[in-house]
Amino acid sequence: MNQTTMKSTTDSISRSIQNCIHQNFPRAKQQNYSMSADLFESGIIDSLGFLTIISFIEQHFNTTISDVDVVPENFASIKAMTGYVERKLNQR
Amino acid sequence: MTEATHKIKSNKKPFHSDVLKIDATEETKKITAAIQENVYDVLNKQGAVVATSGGIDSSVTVALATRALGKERVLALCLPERDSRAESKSLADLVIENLGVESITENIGPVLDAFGCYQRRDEAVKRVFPEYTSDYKLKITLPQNLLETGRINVYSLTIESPDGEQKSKRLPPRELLQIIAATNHKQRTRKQFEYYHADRLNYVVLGTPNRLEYDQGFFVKGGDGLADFKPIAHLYKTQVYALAEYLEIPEEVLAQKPTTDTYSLSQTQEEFYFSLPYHEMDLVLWAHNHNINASEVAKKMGYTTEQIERVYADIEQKRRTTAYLHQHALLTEPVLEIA
Repeated sequence: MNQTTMKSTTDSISRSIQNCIHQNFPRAKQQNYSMSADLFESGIIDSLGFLTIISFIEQHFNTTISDVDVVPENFASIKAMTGYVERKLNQR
Repeated sequence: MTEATHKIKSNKKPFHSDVLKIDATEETKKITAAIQENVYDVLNKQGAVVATSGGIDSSVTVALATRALGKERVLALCLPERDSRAESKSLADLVIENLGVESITENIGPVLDAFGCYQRRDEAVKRVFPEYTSDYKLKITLPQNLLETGRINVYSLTIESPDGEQKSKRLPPRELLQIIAATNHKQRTRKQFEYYHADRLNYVVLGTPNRLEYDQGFFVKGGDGLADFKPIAHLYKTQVYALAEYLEIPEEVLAQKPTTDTYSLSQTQEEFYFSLPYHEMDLVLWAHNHNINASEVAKKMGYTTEQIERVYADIEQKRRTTAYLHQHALLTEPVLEIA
């Protein structure tokens, strides 16, 4: 995969996750937050909302997220989630 | 250093293992005076109803109410249902008998059946585990590795077959919400009975949360979160135990591990919500409330700074998640005539 394709994959994953967040958590639309902002600390999502995101990622990217992966390092921000999804897709 | 900064620094309490020690005699005097004032003067009622589960918090609350109001002005309610442990009722009976207060037992199972509590819960469980039947037991739990890894509070469902085989799975959002919504019928139904008896006797309803539960949102809105007065909500659980000893709550009640007594499979409060033993959780919460550095707490409690920082983060996450439980109904504009 060349760099341009990689960049476009990353952007597409980020956009999909961000769309999911905006559709499910109205407060997110009103807040100006960066891709690396902690979504829990900023109050955009809580642990119940997080389950919605996990389900979305599993279905949309046709992957399974194991319990040991459910840590802030992988899911606290859109950037972290994007990196996690990319790593999962690359393992295929 | 400004004068204000100096004042804050000099007011900072040192952290040590005895920070939660209380003078039980003085604390009892303070709380019983508050019960008398709130029941008689503020709320203009004649006594108090306390739902008595056999746990430490309700046992202390009913004992305090009895000291404050007299045993003839306290009604202890036992409100068991299908998933309640048999020991809970025996422990509650022991407390009630020792205090000599009037008690009434209302089996809330038929009401829960009529609400579809069990049926709606089981529908959701079956979507996760199709083999589940009503003779299985179940519980929902949080990850148990808070100290080892930062975690996100994602609930898992555990079922146990009649031959003892256990299976666990992370709960999808729809099923988790349905299980919680159905199970919340239990706490809300209990509250209905508490207010029925309070209304017929012109009594108040006393709530029984301790500080850890109150602060971390460990209650159901309109269920155990609803009360006219919560006399021990300012006390850490460790302090509730100290009061229990002073009030001579039976040993058997003090000896048992705090449980939720909500799901059919035996489950401690740590598994369901707190993830640290209450005496440690209390200390870390106290330290967090008093702005003590995680490194100082870690050193004194034998943990790493990162571990204490994770518990601090978990405390804040739970406060954010449960803030709405504390909120009164919102209004479009204030009604200034009503305080």
